[in-house]
Amino acid sequence: MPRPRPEHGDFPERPEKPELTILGEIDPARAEFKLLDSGFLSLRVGDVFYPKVTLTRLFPYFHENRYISVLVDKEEVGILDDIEALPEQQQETVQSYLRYKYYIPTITAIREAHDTLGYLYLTAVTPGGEVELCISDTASNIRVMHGKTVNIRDVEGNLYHIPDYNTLDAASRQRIELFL
Amino acid sequence: MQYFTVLSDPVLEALRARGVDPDRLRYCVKADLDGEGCYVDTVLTFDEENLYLLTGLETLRRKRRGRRVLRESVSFAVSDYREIPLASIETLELDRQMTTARLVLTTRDSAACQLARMSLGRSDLFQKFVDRLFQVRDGEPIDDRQLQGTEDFCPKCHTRYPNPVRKVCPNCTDKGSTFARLCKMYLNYKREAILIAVSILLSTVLSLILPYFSSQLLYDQVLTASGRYYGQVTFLVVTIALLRLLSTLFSAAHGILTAYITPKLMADIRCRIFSRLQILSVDFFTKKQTGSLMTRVENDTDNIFWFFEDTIPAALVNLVTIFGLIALMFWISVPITLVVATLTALAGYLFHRFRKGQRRLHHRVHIATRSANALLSDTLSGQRVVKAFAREADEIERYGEKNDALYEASYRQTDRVANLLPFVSLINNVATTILLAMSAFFILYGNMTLGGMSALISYAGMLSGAVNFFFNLGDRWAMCMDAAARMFEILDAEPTVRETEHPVPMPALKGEIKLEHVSFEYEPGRPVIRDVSLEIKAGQMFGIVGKTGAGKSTLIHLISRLYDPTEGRITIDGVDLRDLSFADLRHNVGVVSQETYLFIGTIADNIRYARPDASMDEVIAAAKMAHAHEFILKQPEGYDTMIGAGGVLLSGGERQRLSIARAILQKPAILILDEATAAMDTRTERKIQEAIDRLKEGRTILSIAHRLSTLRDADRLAVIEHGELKELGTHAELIARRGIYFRLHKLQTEAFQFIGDDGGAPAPAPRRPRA
Ligand SMILES: Nc1ncnc2c1ncn2[C@@H]1O[C@H](COP(=O)(O)OP(=O)(O)OP(=O)(O)O)[C@@H](O)[C@H]1O
Ligand SMILES: [Mg+2]
Repeated sequence: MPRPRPEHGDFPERPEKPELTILGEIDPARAEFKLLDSGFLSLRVGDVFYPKVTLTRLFPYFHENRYISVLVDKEEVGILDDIEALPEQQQETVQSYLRYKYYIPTITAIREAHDTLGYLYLTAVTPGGEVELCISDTASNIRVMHGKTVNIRDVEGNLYHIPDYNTLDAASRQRIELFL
Repeated sequence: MQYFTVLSDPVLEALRARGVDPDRLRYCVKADLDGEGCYVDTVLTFDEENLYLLTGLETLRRKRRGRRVLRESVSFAVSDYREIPLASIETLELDRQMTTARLVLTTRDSAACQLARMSLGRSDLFQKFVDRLFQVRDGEPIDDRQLQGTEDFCPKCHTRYPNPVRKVCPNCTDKGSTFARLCKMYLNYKREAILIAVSILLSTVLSLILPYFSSQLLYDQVLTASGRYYGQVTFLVVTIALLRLLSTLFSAAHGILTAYITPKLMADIRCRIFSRLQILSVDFFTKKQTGSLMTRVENDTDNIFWFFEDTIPAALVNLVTIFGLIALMFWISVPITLVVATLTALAGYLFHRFRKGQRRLHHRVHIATRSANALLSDTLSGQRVVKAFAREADEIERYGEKNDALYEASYRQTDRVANLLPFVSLINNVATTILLAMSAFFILYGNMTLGGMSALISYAGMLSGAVNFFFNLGDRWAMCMDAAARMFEILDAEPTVRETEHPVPMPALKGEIKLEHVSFEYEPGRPVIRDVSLEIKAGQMFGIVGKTGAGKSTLIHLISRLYDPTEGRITIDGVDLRDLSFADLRHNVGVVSQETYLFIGTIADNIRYARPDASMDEVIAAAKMAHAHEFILKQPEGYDTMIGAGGVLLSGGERQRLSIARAILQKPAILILDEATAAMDTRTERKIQEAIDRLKEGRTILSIAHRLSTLRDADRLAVIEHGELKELGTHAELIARRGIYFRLHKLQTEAFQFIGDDGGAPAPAPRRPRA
């Protein structure tokens, strides 16, 4: 009998008594993050104090708020299971750090697309302004994930993101559709 | 100031207005983001005293010169300006995030704060900028030699190359010039090309005048009582037969000729691509950006082949046809021709539009097919795993989804054809009807003949075929030009690791290796090796340890010069690697790499790959030393066993032993073993180590291993972590330091004690095996 298959990107409910637990889980009740002027975080857990930690999302696209790896000097010191388990104030601190770190320009419209000599030139609109990107080898640098999210990497190595290409306006969609 | 960004006039003006002397500036970079992720321009530059930051918005104007688009900065609206004395700077740290990076500044009198933010792709330039800033401040020498020749801008129009490895500027190359270059390749076959053109011309002209004989002449002159050739049917039939024969002969001639030279041309092209690929450096093949370029080569040459074999001759035929037809039709009736030509063009255009829409749907079908096929082959090759996890039903369901998507897409495509095609062809029928009506009118009231009408009807049909051809030519043309452009990119690509023109002759090396402040990154902004300096004496056995992904193999790639370091230099016997000839280098450096690669061929051929002239005695001796002989013996075909794709499958350890034999046979002055024995059992590994130990005389050996016991004989060891050299010394020294190596050693000895002495793996402490 086939077992129910979890949809991509959503986890089955955690069982009551998990058989596998993540090692080094960070207790949200005792963790205390602080955002420094330098843009880094400091963390106090109980009486351990880390003056500079970085946070890394383990599922940056589909679980922004869960499974956050906490690193000190590139070594993981623990995993924060769920940001929402933190106290309100702490949540805001962690979120603002992550928002900044995981900033990806979101493409909201595509003004122009033309390809010459195997390079695709896009004039795209992002909330930060209009950008012109040059993409080589569209087959591998334009990636569709789970049928809707599109990630685009340009020749300089910069990443752009379309959360759901079905929601783009018809003209923009038509311009990009040929390359998906 | 030469590097890294050219400052535009408005920026220089703004700096001058703030008392900065542009002539004294040393280096400059540009950041492109602000804290909110909006695009702004921040220019960072410094002279001997200060770091300057100028933030604002640069307005660019696009200017067209001919086909090229040039960009010109017209103004710079300054929103912020800062001066920071170099002397007060404590650290400038580059913090790389997911898609952006930031520069964090600490000064003597203030805590860390963010100075600038930029797209990740620019962070490598910022790293170089920061390094140079400190070098200038501290009066250290700066080596900019490696920046030379790395200009990323097209010399003609100053736009950035989309890919610095392949210096092709799409702004300056266009389809026309690509076509011209393709045609130039044809010039090697000038005589044949002319013959083809002439025979095409003749066969087309002949086939054009045929309808004149079979309709106009037949009706008006042969079958009409007042005609000039009244009753001479035989004459007419013979003439028509002769004309047809001639036309067929010419058309066969050009067919045979193209069939003869196009494959020849393609063979030339393939050979040129292959030789070029052999010259190019490794990064060309591993860069993500070129990943599928390789797989497309085959496809591309095919496209070009059909273009020459089929499209170009057809285009010539149709061109001659259109002009010939129009002339002939005008001769019969000017007004009818005008109407028919207009209608044909209109129908052709509509049909073209229809096909264009169809292409989009076709593309969707293509994607759906590909995705379904990918799943199919994925699960077929992963059958063992599917079965092991009892996921058959899930896979069936997954395939079902893809299949539904494919059905949906193909249905939409055929549905559109069924709905629209009848209407598109309707216009063709309307044109024929109008032609008939007009001819009837002219025959009754004008001076047109029945034969004229009959000829016109045949001509109209031919015209519509020729016109449609040109409407649809666009796709094929674009496809072929893209294919050709990609092909020329390969042919034009320059190897990044280049051999010097005047190498220092070094036929025999002692094998002393020195790394001086070596840094390296595969992708801009993600450094893999950082400022590593170390020295390996000739004749030493040098061990490198470190976690996986630390950069050990990368270090080996640099020493064997598959890549050049981005900073610093590597010398062998005091000579910069870049000054050695490839032949000397490859001859003297033998690498047994982590990923063993065996070519299609016999075991003996594979062992001899490094020295094809080696005798079979030597091959066997090398195989014995590498302990490969034992398993080769067991193959029924011995050393003549075919391996590689399609041949006998070897286990991981067996493959490794063959690569070791290959390297031993090469007798290099520097032997590099990258996890060369990792896939073997401890007993075999021990035996190979003894063999390698015997090789040590007069040879430098570099060995990478995770199992510290593998390196028990090493004279010196280096510990690499995150691309940095963390510890260096002998086994005893490193143990005494109680650092990373000590911890690693302790862990592994504990593990061995726990497992017990299975497989005869003693703790690495005793220097000789207990035997
Ligand atoms: N061709 C490449 N392009 C981009 N990144 C690469 C490439 N090859 C390796 N890397 C990255 O460089 C880093 C160092 O890789 P390297 O192969 O040198 O590690 P290693 O120390 O040999 O590890 P292992 O012990 O697993 O063999 C890794 O993070 C890897 O992802
Ligand atoms: Mg490796």
